[in-house]
Amino acid sequence: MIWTLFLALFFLETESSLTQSAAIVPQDPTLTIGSSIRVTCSVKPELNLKAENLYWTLNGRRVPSKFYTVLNSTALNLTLNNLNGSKQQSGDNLLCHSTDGRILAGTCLYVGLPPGKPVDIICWSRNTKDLTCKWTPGSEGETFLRTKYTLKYKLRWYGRDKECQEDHTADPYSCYIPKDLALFTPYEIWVEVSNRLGTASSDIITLDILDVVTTDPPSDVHLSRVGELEDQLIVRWSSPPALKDFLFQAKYQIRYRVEDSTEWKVVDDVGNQTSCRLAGLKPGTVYFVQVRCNPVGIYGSKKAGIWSDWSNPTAASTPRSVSERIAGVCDPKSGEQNSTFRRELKQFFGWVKKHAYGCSGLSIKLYDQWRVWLQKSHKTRNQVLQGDKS
Amino acid sequence: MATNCRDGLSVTSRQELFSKAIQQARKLHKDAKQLQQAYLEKQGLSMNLNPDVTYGIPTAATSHWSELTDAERLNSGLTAYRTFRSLLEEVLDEQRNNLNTEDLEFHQAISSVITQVEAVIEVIEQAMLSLDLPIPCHSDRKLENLSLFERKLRGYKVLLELSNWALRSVRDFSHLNKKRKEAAHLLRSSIARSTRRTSRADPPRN
Repeated sequence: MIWTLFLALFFLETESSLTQSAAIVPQDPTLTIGSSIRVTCSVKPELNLKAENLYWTLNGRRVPSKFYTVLNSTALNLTLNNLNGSKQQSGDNLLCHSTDGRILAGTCLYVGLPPGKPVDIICWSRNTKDLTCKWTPGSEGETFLRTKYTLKYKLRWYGRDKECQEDHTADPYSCYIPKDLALFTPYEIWVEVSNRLGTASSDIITLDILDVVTTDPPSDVHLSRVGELEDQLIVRWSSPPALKDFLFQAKYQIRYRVEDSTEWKVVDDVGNQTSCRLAGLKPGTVYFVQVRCNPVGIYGSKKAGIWSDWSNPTAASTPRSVSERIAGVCDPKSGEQNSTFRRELKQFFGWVKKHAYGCSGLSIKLYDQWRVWLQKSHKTRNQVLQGDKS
Repeated sequence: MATNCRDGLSVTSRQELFSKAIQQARKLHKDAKQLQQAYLEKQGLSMNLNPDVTYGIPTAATSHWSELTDAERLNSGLTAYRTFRSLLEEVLDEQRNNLNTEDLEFHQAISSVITQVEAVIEVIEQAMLSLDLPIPCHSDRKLENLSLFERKLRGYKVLLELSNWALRSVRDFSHLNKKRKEAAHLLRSSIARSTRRTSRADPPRN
């Protein structure tokens, strides 16, 4: 098989070049969407090719002859109107062929739009060490041409212009400055954009790094049961280590969901604590919990702060309900559930009257105490019952 | 570069070297073929494109392959792959700077083929040293002033010829391997014959 390939290759040795047989003018032009162009293919007279026999292809498709004009015996014109954006970034391929399909010459067409002014520049700094900025391309969006964005920045009063070098590979509209950033002095940041059809520049935004700080997610997030309380779990965490000495006013947010659901419930009044009790949960259910941090007021910043990413999910299950544990697992009918709830409520108020008389008001803590008391008394009763049976 | 291996290799290690070269050339042929398809797609060129252009690209086709000496065979391979390396670097540069600037995966695929070409150059040089053949100096290629369309076409032609050359190298190294095996076999037979002759000539001692 290899030999057959070789034999085939022997006949491919040829010394001709595209530039020797014909030429297309203009070469590699850049045009705006909707514009028109006239292109000429001129063949060398010694090739004895007639212009009227030549034809054009655009991206591999033959262009109808109604768009051709024979200039003379060796030159053929093509007029293309109302051009669409280039099909590929490397440019549209416009080729001039001889009757037998051979390519005589070719040119690339770059059809697109000038870049629009970038807008909505957003920046954040992870632990005050770096700066990432994202932006939205101009109002025209897709330019169909290679368009280069450069994020520039400088210290407001006395800095030199610097260019962000590390483009985020996944997102062409973002850039990452890894180091050498100053705090307590505002930066001026803007985006410059250019392509073959023009240039544009965004408005300048001014920001101090400490106003756009985001932290790592809180660490050591643990979720555990609150004794035997079947509807509660407690979540504890540590402040993000990199900035823990500066997070005096930081805020935390918790979200949780049951194992088989994608819907998160958010607890956003956690404040500056590093633990929180989740109540009103379903008994015997696995819960996933995540925590995030907002470094409000870091280094004296007056800005609202940027939330960190959520911590990795951590999970724990609530204890199974007492009735389940006694009678086995089953789905109680809603009527039964309702009467159980009423009975429990009645019991709770009786207990409050007896044990918590004079307390300033009802609170979830009081309810928890009652639940613990209730479970203890259930346990005692079961032990007595089992003792009786034996 | 392996310049201190002039003491020559044993027959076995030479065979190992040739086998390694065959494997590398096979892989290069496969990868260059795959890259050709991707290249056509990225440039919007048609599959049945058969450009009659050379642009100084080494062509694998030869009408006197079986008449080549070992030195000619390895020399022409080395010269070709050195040219391919320089051409592929230009192709990568064109894609990065002009034609497909944002396609990092594609750039990576071209880089990977360049690395493979370098490995083949290395193995050819080792083979030449093992056969006590002088390694020719590398002469710089003349840069051409081409339009973007011609650059697109040249890139395709480079990959096309590279895959053909890799196939030719598989054939070259198989041929060299076979020749060495035959020579080793002949050597063993002649040693055995002369040993037999000597033992017949010497009368047994009591």
